[in-house]
Amino acid sequence: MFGYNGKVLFVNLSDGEIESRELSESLYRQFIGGLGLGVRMIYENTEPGVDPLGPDSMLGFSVGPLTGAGLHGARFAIMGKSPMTGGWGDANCGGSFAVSFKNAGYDGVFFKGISHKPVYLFIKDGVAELRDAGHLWGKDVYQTEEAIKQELEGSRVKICSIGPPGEQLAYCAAVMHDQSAAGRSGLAAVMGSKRLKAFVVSGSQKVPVADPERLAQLRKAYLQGVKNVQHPWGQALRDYGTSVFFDALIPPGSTPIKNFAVQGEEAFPDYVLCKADEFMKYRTRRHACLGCAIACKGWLEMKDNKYGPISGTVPEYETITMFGSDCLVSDLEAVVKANDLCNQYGLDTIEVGATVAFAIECYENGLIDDKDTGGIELTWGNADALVAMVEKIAKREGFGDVLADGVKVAADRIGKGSEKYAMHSGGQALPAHDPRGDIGLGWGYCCDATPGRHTADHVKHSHDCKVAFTLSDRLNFPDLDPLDVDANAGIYASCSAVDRVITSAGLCFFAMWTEELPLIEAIVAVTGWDFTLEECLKTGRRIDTLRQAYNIREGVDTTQWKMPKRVAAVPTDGPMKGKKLEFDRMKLKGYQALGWDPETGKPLNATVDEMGLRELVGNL
Amino acid sequence: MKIRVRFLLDFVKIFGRNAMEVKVPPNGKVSDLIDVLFDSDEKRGHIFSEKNYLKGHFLLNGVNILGLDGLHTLLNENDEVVIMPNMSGG
Ligand code: SF4
Repeated sequence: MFGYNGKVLFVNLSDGEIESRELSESLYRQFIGGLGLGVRMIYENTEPGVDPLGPDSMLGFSVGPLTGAGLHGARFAIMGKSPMTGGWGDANCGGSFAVSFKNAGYDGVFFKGISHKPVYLFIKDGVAELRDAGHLWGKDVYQTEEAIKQELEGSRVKICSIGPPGEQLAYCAAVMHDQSAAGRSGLAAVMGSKRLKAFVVSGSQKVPVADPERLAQLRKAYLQGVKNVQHPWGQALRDYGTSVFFDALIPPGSTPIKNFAVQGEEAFPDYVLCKADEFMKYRTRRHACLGCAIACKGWLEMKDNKYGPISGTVPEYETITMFGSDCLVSDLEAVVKANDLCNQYGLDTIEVGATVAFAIECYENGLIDDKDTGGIELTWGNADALVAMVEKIAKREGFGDVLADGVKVAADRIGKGSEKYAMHSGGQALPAHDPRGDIGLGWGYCCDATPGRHTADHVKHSHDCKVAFTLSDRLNFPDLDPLDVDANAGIYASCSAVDRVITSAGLCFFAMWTEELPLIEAIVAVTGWDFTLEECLKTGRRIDTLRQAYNIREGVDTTQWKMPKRVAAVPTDGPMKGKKLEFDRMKLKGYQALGWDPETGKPLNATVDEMGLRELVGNL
Repeated sequence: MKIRVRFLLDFVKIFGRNAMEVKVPPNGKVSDLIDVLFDSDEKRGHIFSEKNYLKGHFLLNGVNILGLDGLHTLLNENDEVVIMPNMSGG
């Protein structure tokens, strides 16, 4: 078998047993790797109805065949049952962990059970051991990484870990690696519930590929393509990183402002204070996930930040928006500080930002007061209050304890009708994209098995109604009106399927917009399979279908995952003024295109059979 | 008729300014404005990609033309059009 290690590890944290299992090539071919492999393993190896934070739930980490192929940056996936939605959860993260993980000899690691004391798993070139993490418990992520590097092999080891929020089962927590986060779905709380402080790898065994010469050719052409990328999105990513999307997405109404209440430049003129050029003043260097020519990430130094000197990452677009415009904060230093706090403690900037924006609205409307917040004046645009509240959430202190499990749980705890200010779908806060301004995102929000996600899947439109997408030429997407729900549904299902294969193969989904990504050819070169576009689409659909089948098996009624009323309403002002978006119809048509029953959300029998999933899922 | 055009991001560099006034024929549409502004092959390359994707977002008086009639949206005297790179998601 080429492109894979051919085996995964099962680690039972309750009794410390570590078992290596070989997997068949046909299983890999059906599920590729990454989250595809993860959903296949977790579906089979967990019972329905498990408590996500109990011993019987499973937390997976995995990579794919294109991890380390040098084509685009490699990301690893984490997955399990989400405590936020009660259904399927996954997240992914860049950096350099994925390649070392694969070179350490396994395609996936699946943790079950609960350790009686804090531990971390260390895999070095095929040898896995659980090590004591008692001395690390309670430490933040920066301290944890430092301590592990000191006791192991310095910077050669790659680490993902949780901080105190994950240990304290906060749904807002994130699994962190090198100041990047696998933040969504609440899986850091699952990791904390298992008393798994960190997962550490050191790998030097490169996995053979079927046709190295062909892969080298593809890589050369692709890297050239990235250098000359035509798509403005790709250009902006390369030159600035995602921070520039803030400049670009506020004017068309795609960026949430004031907890999704308003849109457009006029609603928040001070957004200019957080434009990308302002962050670039502090950027010391660009930074890439290992093997990525785009290098959209950056390091910054902000010695004179009023909240104390910061040496860390340039905040991503999601972060700038959720702490910035969504809270009406235009203070760059506060946004950088809030970002750094999240990286230090291990928090999902999206869920935390959304929850603070929600709390501000509750405070402004008198549902909570200074007594609740411990004296923090949660008013719109109050930068100091934002920073103070993020710190409280990180420590689960005072009102931070109320907010630490995300926007949905916070609304449940506060009550008093606060749910109307909670911008979530199915328990997961909406990320930094207002689907009224960025319609393509609305498809994923409505239909994906993980709701409210910016990395789930979307339809990319430009205004001449072409779909900008890696394989769009070969898929013969017609020109169409982005607002025409019926016409777009099939495109959505195809985009989703291809996206699923890109991420399952181990690549970053930003590769989609370079337009030059030779996805199919690279999978052929690495695995030696006669993999085709048709097989790619079917494989992506299989993975999508199994994620949804997992939701159904866990008793989640995904038809009830709705857009918040505010987001579903027709904008009365701003760039999308007067335009009605038919989210219910998107869900109906999206489910039909995916082969799922719009009434129940269940994958249809015909879909289950066509995808070859009957034996695994039985009768849903 | 006179249309005021404001550029954002890449388009500031392309036109060397933040804003300009443009004349389009009476009853002109957004597509006519594009023809006037991007009047050479080189300039057209800035607004349509090699694969013919429109590289711009257009806001007419603050409203996204997506919610109007797209490239067929009619313009009126003294309208303001904002042109910026087409980006979404992330
Ligand atoms: S585009 Fe950015 S996030 Fe994606 S792999 Fe490259 S550096 Fe990492």
